[in-house]
Amino acid sequence: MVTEGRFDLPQGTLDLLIMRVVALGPIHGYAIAQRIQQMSREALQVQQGSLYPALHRLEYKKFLTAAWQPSETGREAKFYELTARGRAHLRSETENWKRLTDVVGLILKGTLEGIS
Amino acid sequence: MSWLRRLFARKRMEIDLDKELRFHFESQVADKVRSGISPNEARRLARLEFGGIDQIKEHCRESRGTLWLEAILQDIRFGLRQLRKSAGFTVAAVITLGVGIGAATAIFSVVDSLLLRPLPYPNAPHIVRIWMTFAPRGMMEIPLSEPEFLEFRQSQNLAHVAGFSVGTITLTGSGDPLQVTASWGTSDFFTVMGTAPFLGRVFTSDEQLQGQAQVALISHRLWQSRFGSSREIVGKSILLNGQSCTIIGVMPEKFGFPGNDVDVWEPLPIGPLSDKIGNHYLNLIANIKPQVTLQQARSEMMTILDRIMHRYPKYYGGAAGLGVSLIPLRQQMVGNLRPTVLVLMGGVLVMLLIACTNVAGLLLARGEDRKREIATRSALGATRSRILHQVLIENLLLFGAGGALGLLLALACIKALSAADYLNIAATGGVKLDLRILSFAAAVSMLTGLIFGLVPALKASRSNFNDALKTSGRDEMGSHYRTRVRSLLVISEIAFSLVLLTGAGLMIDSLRNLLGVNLGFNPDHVITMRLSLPEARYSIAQTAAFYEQLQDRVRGLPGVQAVAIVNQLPMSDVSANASFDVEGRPSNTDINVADTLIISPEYFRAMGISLIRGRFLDGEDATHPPASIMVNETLARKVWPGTDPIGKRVRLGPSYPWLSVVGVVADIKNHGSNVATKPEIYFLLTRQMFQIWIDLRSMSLVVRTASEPSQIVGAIRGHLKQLDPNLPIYRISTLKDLVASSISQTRFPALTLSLFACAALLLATIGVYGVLAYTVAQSRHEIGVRMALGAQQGQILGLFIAQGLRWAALGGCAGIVAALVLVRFMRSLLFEISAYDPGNLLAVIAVLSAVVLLACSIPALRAARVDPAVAMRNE
Repeated sequence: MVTEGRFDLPQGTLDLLIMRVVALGPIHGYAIAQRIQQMSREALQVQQGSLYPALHRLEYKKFLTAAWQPSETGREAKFYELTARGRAHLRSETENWKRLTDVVGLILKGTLEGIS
Repeated sequence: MSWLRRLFARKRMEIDLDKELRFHFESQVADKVRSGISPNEARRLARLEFGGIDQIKEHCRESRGTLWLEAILQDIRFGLRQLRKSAGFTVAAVITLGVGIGAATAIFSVVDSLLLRPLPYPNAPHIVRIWMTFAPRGMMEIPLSEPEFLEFRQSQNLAHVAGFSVGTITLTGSGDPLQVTASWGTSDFFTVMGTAPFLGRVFTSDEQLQGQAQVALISHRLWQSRFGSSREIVGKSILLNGQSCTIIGVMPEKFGFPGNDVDVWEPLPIGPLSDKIGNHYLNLIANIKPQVTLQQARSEMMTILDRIMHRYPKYYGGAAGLGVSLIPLRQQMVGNLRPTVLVLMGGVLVMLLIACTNVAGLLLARGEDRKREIATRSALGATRSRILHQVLIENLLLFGAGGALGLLLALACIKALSAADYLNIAATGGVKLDLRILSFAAAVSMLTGLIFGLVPALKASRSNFNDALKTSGRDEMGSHYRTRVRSLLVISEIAFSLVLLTGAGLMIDSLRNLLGVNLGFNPDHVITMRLSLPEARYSIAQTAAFYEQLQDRVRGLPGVQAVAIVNQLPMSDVSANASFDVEGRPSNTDINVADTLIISPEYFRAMGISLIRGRFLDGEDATHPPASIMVNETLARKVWPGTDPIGKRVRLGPSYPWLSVVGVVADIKNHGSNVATKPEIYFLLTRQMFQIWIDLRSMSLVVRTASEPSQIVGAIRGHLKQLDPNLPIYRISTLKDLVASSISQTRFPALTLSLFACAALLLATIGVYGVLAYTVAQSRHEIGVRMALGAQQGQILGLFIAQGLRWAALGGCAGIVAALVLVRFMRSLLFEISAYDPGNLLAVIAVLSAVVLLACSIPALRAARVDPAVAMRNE
């Protein structure tokens, strides 16, 4: 997941991002990767090696369901959708994330005194 | 049951996964083409970006929960394929495991039933046998007389004391006459044993005292074979020795005391007025009271013995050295088998060690071989736990097969061992396959398998992929940790084999010495059988007349060369002896004791015993009262050293006639090949025979024939029926078989240990060959380099042979030390060979070296034939 000019995703955040993207409506794996890249303004590039295991994991945990539907190009693609359980999970995880970033932000705000 | 559904929907899921990833890939390519890259280039770039598709798939599979059942099935399939692919390894490992587990289980089951499992008598732990001892003459098991028994019965430390004797009895009526083994016991006999009858009741003390009540119990076996398992048998009458007798009970199937062959139990009439102090015929059994030690009981017995000696001063005359010994029942029953069984147990333990070592070596080599495979699999995304699972399953398959083979072998061995009647296994309740032992043996080898199977796999899966691929397939000779472990395994295998070979060698030498013993008679072409004439119908004169007629009739049969009778046949357990006085010397009955053999004139010719001096007893001697005897060389040497015994006279006591020695015969091994010959006196059975305490009515018929002797049995039976239809014959055996069974105590461990040693040698050969072949395979590159640098074929050959010989030397040294420590435990099984016999040790070392050399030569030759060009190009 690491590439030049971009940065590491903290552990577990990929699942959160995927669910956030899927929450917008049924979507297939390739589009999810594209969308994350877009939304992060090209800062995040999700590799297939991480994306698909994560999707399958979420599906196994019943946060996502999947169905085969024709894609925009007409080919069949596996479209993922958030389940009720997934929606609840996403909500609480998003809350957690916000609280975490707020707290971390509180501590890290201000000048880089003592570092540089 | 989603995992179950998923298991069957596996194919579907794989297709979906493939389709999903392909869609991603195609979309990526399409996007690149849209941005102006040529289709070919777009594909190439997309493939680069995409990375290892199989790795992704594996990760996806794993994130879908633990597919354990699917994984296990897959692993089993994969494992079976792997095992089939390396059939050599599989066969070697399975056989090794099977032999190790099977032999260990069988021998330990025997040990268990002989030495550890409770005897099939409820009171067994408290039962002791009581003997009188007379240490100065080395007599440690003297039976007791009736007055002594009555005194011992007064003991405070013993709950019950019973006396018994054993003999044979003729059963007639309803079918052919049958000679059966019978036991006569006092009323407490069954109380001491603690066994209740299967049907009916045991005899009461009244019945015992009267003696004439004529009641009997019969064995379960006799009840089935003779009386058709009829429950109405109790209360019926049978004829025993021609006398009517009421059956009052049937003993349970497992009850076989005092011997497993006993079919009839009768009360032994002993009254309070018994005064036959000198008649030592009673065997004593007793129950020790709880909380009384053997020591306490024994010291009380000694006090009682003192009392007896004071009461009968005339008989005992203050004899010093008399004692009493109390021996726990089990020790009495299996005591003399203990060394055999323990030696076998040691042998089988060593065998299990060799098997484990061999499997360890095989697994190690295999682990090395699979390093590349495992590294590849982990590079393709298999997690370590998955790889370990797989190796574990494969080991389980291997050990399952080995264990199953072991189980079959154990069952076969137990069957064979139970059939070896000299082990007397039936008396202790028979051998059962012990599942605890089977699981123990399986667990030990399984543990070996886990350690030596999993550790290499664990290492391989942890190691760097590149390193693994680079080094695998090549292994530098010498200072390598793994090479050292393998060498150590081979060395220990050689050492263990040497120990077993030494033991087997000693037993085989003992057996050969025993077989080489000059028996003094010729056992070929002789058939023997035993007869017992009932006292009620046969006086001594009638007995002699009967045997004369029988011999005359048998002599007329075609092919018969000589016919005779004898009261104690060589190698049989019958034995009679007497003390005698020598004319012109003071009576010394302590020293002048001889075995008394009652024969007919043709005995020496029938047996092939040669005359040393004087003449044989002949038909002329048989026509008048006994006046002449023959003696054996041992007696002649002992009583008349340096003088001619012919014409000298002896008598059996003051009231007996003088008998003059007319001839001396060669010594024969009457009591077994490994028992020193005792002094012997030969008497003719005549119609005017004097009364003597020896049983004159039970005789063995000895028939020497021109051809196969057992063919004549039917004809003899026919003549016997004409003479006396109610007379059974029993113990029909060729003399050769009698001799063979007399050395089974040596033959059995000799054969078993040899079998172990052969198996061990085979396993060690496989081990040495396997490890060296593996080393050669690993060093092909190095060999190639050496040869390219000018090493000769001979040098390469020498290199590997030297390696094998180094192993043999180290293993041999360790083995010799271990063997010298261990062989002393088998001293009591050896015959005329020292446990430290250097010849045996040298032979063993020679055999082992030869085998190691042979095992090494094939891989070494292969190494010498390595083509340097090919070997180096291979890398």
